[in-house]
Amino acid sequence: MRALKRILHVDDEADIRAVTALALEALGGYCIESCDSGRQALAQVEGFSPDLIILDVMMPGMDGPATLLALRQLNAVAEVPVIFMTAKVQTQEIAEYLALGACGVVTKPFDPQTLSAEVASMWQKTLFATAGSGNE
Amino acid sequence: MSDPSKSYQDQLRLLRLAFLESCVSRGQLIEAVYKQLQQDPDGSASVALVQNLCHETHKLTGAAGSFGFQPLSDMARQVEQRCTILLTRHAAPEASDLTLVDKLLQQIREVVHIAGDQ
Repeated sequence: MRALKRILHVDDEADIRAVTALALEALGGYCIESCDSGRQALAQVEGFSPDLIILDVMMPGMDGPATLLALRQLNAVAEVPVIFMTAKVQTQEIAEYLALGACGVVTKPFDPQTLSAEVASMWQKTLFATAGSGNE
Repeated sequence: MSDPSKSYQDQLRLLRLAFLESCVSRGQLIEAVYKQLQQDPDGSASVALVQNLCHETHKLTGAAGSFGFQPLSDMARQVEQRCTILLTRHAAPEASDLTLVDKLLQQIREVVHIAGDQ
């Protein structure tokens, strides 16, 4: 099974970038690259080659959904799973994010202590879903 | 990113302190919007002000809760949700909305006070 090692995290809020990187690096053992905007993510994503991308939904300029659509146009990362991170947690909104192609939604605020386990769980589900659809 | 020479808890404590310090400027920004809303009885300037307040409280909701300041996060979320309703309805804030913002400012002052003690 493919291992999760490299995660690109995109969020305009510096505090959230810092605590996310700490939680995923120190507790999850992942390699994290942080970006403060969708545009910066698009510029850096191919050089970093992430296994997974975590996108904040509400960002000034290019928001999370727009960034996801733009990422899907880049051949090198078009298939990389994306998790949205958001404080908007209405059931309908979560359904909309999943319909856009996200493999999961992390709600803000989150517990740094459990974030890496939550992300790992979403990654595993995505791998199983991908393997399952490949066997059909 | 994170400094491997420091333990996770040490680094989290430092980030928490940095967040508490950032609450001073966050509070100043929200207070400035609050005062402008108070001085805008006909609501002519309120859309831009409420959008600004909505953006700031949205950021505060996520950051405060992630650093363990749940009451502040909850209060920021209440203000954000109220801002969203006002923007959807194209309505100016009412006195009860300003009271809610005032309560948020009190919460911010409390966490800034915690920062001063640490």
